Amino acid sequence: MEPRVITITSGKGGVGKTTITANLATALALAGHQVVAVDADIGLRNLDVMMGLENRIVYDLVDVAEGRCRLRQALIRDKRLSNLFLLPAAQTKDKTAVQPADMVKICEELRSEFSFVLVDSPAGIEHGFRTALAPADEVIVVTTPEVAAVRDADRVIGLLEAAGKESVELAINRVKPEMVERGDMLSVEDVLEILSIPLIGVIPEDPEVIVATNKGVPVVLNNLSPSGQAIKDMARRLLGEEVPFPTLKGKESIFNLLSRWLRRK
Amino acid sequence: MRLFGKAGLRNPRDIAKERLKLMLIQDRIQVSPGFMEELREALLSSLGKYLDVDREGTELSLEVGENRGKLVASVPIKSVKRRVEHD
Repeated sequence: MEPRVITITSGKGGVGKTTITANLATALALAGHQVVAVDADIGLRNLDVMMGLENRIVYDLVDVAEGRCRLRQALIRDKRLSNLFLLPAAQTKDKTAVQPADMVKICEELRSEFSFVLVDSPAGIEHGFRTALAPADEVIVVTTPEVAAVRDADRVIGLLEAAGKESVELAINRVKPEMVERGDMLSVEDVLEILSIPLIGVIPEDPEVIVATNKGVPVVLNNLSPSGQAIKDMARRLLGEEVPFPTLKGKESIFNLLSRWLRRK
Repeated sequence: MRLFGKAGLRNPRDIAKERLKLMLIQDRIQVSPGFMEELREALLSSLGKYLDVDREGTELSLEVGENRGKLVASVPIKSVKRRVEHD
């Protein structure tokens, strides 16, 4: 299988990009793949915290880009999984410290050792976003079922289309089925209808994520967590498996909607 | 599919959906340079099969109101063609 560089982005901040990157990387590593997670959010690094690796950082992405160390020296091996690595962001530099061309070069080098390179993009649509996007073969846009998040996701999808990115998929995070049922929240179907790009994951709201973040242990390692299960399903879909989306309560099943959407293509 | 619910019966989910759709009409048009110009050209060229229109006097605008987006076109007609011109 060809190595794949997948950038996780969203436009709006706080929708769960970093949590999804850490967990997706962990899930792919659990499935036996060589995986590296790259934190492209320079100046506001968090991926290390989600993975519980914040105490092990010696060199970072900016050191690699500026030639102060070799790429291999900056990679941190996960505590639990020997086939999972982190390339941390710098905490003290600003977002322009790494250029899109640097990122492309670094990811090219990572492709020779890893089957999956997951890049965690910063929020926004400026320099950091363009840098994170530059090496991507595939892009996952994360949103939540909220007006502002969906609006920003639409803007990002437009920019990705303009940039010629062909594989762009949607992950909808923090879905609360009981609120959808009551008519208080946008449903998965509503969001899909508005954004009309293929769906790769639906992650329910889950307090276990906060617990997992506090402990620095990705929630996919908790077999009882519904959000962990949803991200494992997402990883399986990325690997080409057909994993049905759990039927969320609502007016129309997601299967109907998806098949309708596919027919329209 | 129901786009616009009856006033007073709408729940927060429907309101959110409606607001989003309107926002995206404006956003998508505003961020695509040349969108309105291209639309204007497409409109004029298909109208041209039926009518002889005053291109310079044509005005095209987008109005986003309380609950819908509306494309408003004002096209002065010079004359109506006797025969529809097919491509």
